[in-house]
Amino acid sequence: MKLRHLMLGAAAAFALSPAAALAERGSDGQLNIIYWQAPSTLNPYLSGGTKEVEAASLVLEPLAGFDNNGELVPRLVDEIPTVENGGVSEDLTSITWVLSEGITWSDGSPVTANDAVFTWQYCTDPEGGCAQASYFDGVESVEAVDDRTIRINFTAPKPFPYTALVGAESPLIQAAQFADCLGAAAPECTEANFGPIGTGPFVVTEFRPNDVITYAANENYRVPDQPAFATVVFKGGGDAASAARAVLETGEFDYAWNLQIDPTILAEMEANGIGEVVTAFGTSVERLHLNQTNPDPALGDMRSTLEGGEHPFLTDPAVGQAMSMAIDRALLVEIGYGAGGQATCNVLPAPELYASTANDDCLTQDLEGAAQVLEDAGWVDEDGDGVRERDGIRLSVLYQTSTNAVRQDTQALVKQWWEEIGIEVELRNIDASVFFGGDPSSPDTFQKFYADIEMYTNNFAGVDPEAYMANWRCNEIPGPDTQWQGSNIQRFCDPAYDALVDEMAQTAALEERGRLAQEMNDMLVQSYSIIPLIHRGGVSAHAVTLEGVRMSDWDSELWNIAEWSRAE
Amino acid sequence: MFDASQQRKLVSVRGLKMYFPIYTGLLRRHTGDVKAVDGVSFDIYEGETLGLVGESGCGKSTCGRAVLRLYEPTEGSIIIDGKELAWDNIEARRISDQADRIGRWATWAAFLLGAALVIWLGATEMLTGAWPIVIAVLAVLVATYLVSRLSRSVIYRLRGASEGVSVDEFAPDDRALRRIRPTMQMVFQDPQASLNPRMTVADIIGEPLSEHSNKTGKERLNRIYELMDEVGLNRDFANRYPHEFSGGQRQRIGIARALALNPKFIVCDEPIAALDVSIQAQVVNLLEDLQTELGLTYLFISHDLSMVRHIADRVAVMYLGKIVELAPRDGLYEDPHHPYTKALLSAVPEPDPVSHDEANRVILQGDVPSPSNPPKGCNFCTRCPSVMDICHQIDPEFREVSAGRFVACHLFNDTQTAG
Amino acid sequence: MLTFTLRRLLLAIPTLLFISLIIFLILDLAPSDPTASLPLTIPPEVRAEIRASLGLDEPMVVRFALWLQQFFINEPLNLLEQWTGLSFGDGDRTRVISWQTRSPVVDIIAQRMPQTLWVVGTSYVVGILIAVPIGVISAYRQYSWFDQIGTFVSMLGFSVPTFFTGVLFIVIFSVQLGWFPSVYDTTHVVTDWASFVVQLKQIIMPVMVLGLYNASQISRFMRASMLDNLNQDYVRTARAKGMTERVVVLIHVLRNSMIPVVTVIALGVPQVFGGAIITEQVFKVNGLGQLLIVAIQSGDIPTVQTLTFIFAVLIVLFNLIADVLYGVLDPRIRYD
Repeated sequence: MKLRHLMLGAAAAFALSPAAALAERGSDGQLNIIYWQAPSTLNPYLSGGTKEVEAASLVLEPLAGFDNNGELVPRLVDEIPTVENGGVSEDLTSITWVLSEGITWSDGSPVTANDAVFTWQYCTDPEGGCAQASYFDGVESVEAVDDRTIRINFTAPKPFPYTALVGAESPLIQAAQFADCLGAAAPECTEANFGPIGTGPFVVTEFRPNDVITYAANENYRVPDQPAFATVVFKGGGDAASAARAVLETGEFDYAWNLQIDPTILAEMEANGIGEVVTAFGTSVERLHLNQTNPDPALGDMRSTLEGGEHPFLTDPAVGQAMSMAIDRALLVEIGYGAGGQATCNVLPAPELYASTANDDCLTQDLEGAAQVLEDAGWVDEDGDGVRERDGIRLSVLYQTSTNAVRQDTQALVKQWWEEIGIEVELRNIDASVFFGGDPSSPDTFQKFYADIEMYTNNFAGVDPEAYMANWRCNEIPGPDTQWQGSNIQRFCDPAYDALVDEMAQTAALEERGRLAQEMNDMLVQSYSIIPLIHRGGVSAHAVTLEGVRMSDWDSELWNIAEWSRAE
Repeated sequence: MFDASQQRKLVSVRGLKMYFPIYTGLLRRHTGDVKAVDGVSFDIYEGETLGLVGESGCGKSTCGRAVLRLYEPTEGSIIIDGKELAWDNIEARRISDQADRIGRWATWAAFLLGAALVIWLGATEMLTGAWPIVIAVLAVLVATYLVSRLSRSVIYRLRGASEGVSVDEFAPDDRALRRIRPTMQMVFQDPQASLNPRMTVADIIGEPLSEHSNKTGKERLNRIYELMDEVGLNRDFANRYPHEFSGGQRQRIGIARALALNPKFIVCDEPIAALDVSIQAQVVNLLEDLQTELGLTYLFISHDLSMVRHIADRVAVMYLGKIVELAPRDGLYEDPHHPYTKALLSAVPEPDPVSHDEANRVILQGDVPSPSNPPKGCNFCTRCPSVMDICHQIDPEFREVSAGRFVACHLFNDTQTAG
Repeated sequence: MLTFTLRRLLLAIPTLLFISLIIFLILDLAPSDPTASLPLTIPPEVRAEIRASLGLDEPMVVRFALWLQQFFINEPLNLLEQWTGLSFGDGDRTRVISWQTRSPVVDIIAQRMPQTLWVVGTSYVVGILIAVPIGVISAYRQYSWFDQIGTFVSMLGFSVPTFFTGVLFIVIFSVQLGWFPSVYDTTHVVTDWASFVVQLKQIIMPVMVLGLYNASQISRFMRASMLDNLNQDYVRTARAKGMTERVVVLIHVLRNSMIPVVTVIALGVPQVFGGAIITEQVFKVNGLGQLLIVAIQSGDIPTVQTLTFIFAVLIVLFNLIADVLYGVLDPRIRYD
């Protein structure tokens, strides 16, 4: 054991030397990747799952993607079109991409603008059931100006036009291969769906749905010395703990994805020194929603709706503020998330441009301060039962979330802190499939919110928060008239906020968009209708001998797999 | 008439005990024994039929099986056709048991050590490739086999020598016993259960032939047909299964099977008890005919006193694991000595109601005591109509009270001492 | 026997149709949504379109009729075409399509079959090979140390779940000792001795885990059946015949004791095809069991329906085989 340790240490030290960087295509043998949820297809347009998108990202590429900092990087083009370089029209209604010279599919045929047009047609066919259709929202047409020039026209000005054909979720597919697979015929093209021809660093040699995929280096890849690995085995199945074990303990695999397991166990495994845990933070935030409407069961059908009236005490920012101050977020991270979480005070914690720093006081727990805030606002414990009240209203809340070990731990801790400052807490957990199931006839969905406080995680895909921040407009409040559809779960409503949303939709300059997003974030957080807790990241692990991993949550985790190599 | 003294003793049993251990409690400790047969001695002369009668549960069937070494007797000597089948020497038995135990451990130890060695060599990659592994595994198996075969006899000799017991005094082991088996056979009570349901008649009769003789297939078939003729079975039924026959026919199959190897001695364990009355006579006559024809010697176990009177030359009466009386048939039936024999015989219905004197009928009170806990003194003392004080103290000796008549009863000890 | 078999086969047809309807109804009534496992970022309108493209908006009766036609007419015709090379009709038949993979379910099942049969089948055979001698010796030496240990081990094997033994094996043999891989490579092909050793190494842990479980079950049956027979008179007869103990036990007792055990073994065969859901997950064998569980998790009704129906067919079939075997093995039983 000791000897092995030393050898690994030596290997790691050697890996740092620059000699390892110069490699030939396919000189590093086989790369073994384990995804404990196995991909069921390699056509990301037919399955919206992360596992399928990432498995396909070795083969299929978009025009441009995002790096690990959330910044755009060109892939099949030479430069990112902007208003400045004329690639985006002044009125923000079209974007023009120019393909790099000499890009070919792995079968050797050239990539043309027609492939992009076809991709758009493929995903927007009404009978196809395309899982990534939202990436083409607002796209009026995609046209091939010439063989290398693609113009995407939008129905309305689009300040952030980098959605269609950008990122691993909407890659380019080959028109020739999928020509007969439009619309209802999409599922019949099993061969194409299981072995798409792409421009990426690898080509599929065998695909076994929900089991294993083998890839070989793409001989026609545009970078001559990439990829370093000759073959990739992409194994699926098992569970997160066993995937972690295969990388961190037995060393059978080089890379494992989505290791949501007990942080102490993961740390123990990592201590073996065979592999290391990497995390990437995107936009996922575990948060508390404080119901601004009255969930009193006595209201019947009107409970938790605007018609039912305001919440008796959660609309008082002092209560929310005290609740937020009473929470020790660092302890929650330590117990439930480990490397996969960071304490946060923002609904919008990333990308950096949009992240506000105005609320960082909440990072330190202040129980006395919280009690004082309540005291000052007139919430006092008059009858000595340990629960504060004002005008006959007791601070007593029902706090619900989905059934999940980490969430129940969090609930228990939060309950303890809140009861210390005189707020009575009743806990409840609901099976995830019901809670997130969205069945309008069920009283237990997170949209119906028949409770005072609820907790879950939400995020947005990509790097642009515009659509996400629009979630908290007044007209997004769920209710019986919309079949409880709507994303303004805590029923926050402020005309000033709506005005900021509208302003952002008209603003193209990034700096300005950043300022607006921060302002909206602060407005939300300071209303104390929402209490952000944890900024959650993806957790993966890779062997110490694997170099070049730049874990990202903005695009496929494997976005730069072409650059990965094996340390000697 | 039959004269015992001039006949050769074919079977001689002395002090035969057959105890079945009782284990109780969590740890299954040995807490007692069922004394099914508790010190039985008798001789059977060549060509005669010894009837063995008694109530059910008295140990007569166990006795019959133990005599044929279908059980491992606890104690006593059994000599059949001049060969000792059991343990005359208790010391020898102890040594043999010990040797068996050590041999078994040695075999296991050899196997486990060998297996561990192979696994270790394989795991540390000192042993690689197909053939080395196969050879190593074979070597372990061969070594285990050798240890199992050799260790026992080596220990026999070593232990025997140190304790002054010769190997000759050991009871025959399984192999030797099997060689003696053809001499002695058994006809069982339940002809249905005693025939393997998955074997045809020809297989059942022919199996001992292939085991103990080197007949060719054709010779064997001929012998099978011959046997079937002998017991009165249609040859065409040779390929049928036992369940296709009637009870009487099945018992004929059982008899044919017992005869296959030309035995000298047959234990008939209630051969007719499970048959219809109409069939019983047929089977008994068949047995008698075969006896005259082949010169067989029978130990005929039955609870049917009339049938025993019909077939037996001498009769032994068993009660609670012991023989209480043994006498020539006529003497026994006309003048039973032992109170138990009297009681038994008085219960037999007589064809002539006038001679069946109700007043003479002895009805026994109470139940048979448990064979795991027999009473002190005479086994029959709890139910005996003529019980005396001494019966509760001392177990009466089984002794010859007049020529050829043996009885175990204090009543007769008195006459002897008085006379 | 032939008429019995034919009658039973005919009777199986309505049974199976009924079973397929029940399965369909249960799956339809169960709350499952093929889009439920997709990320929250995919909007509800897109989800509705995905559901529509899967045909989920059709009424239940139409979907059931379609499945019946696809499964009982189209798929068998397709198989026939593949085997015989002939073509029937225009060849334009819709097949049973999996909602997860959007590919024909039958093809995936065919692809999964080999690894399941290899791993689960081998473990079944190994289980039987271990169980029969253990059962025989346990019964022959009832209450001996061997029997006590055997009883204890089979109780353990029966009651300790495979997800525990599996992980325990991985921790000991993969993590600590490093002897065997913890992940089964389904693409591995045996071509020579070295690759055979690799196959052996990767198959040994799942086979032992499952084999232990199977063996403990079958050895109990074997022991009980042997005990029933050991006390029969015909065994005493065989001994009286002067047969060796080996013949007595292995020919007379074992053959008779195997009758009920063989039927139990036959009834267990459908489980082999069903795969071992948990063990396959633990060792990542990804056979039929894993296919079923993944299909259930992602609400892939056509796959679940087809798989469970095939299991139902196998169960009915092997029940029949068990009955017929009984008749063949036991001359006392006649089906006339």
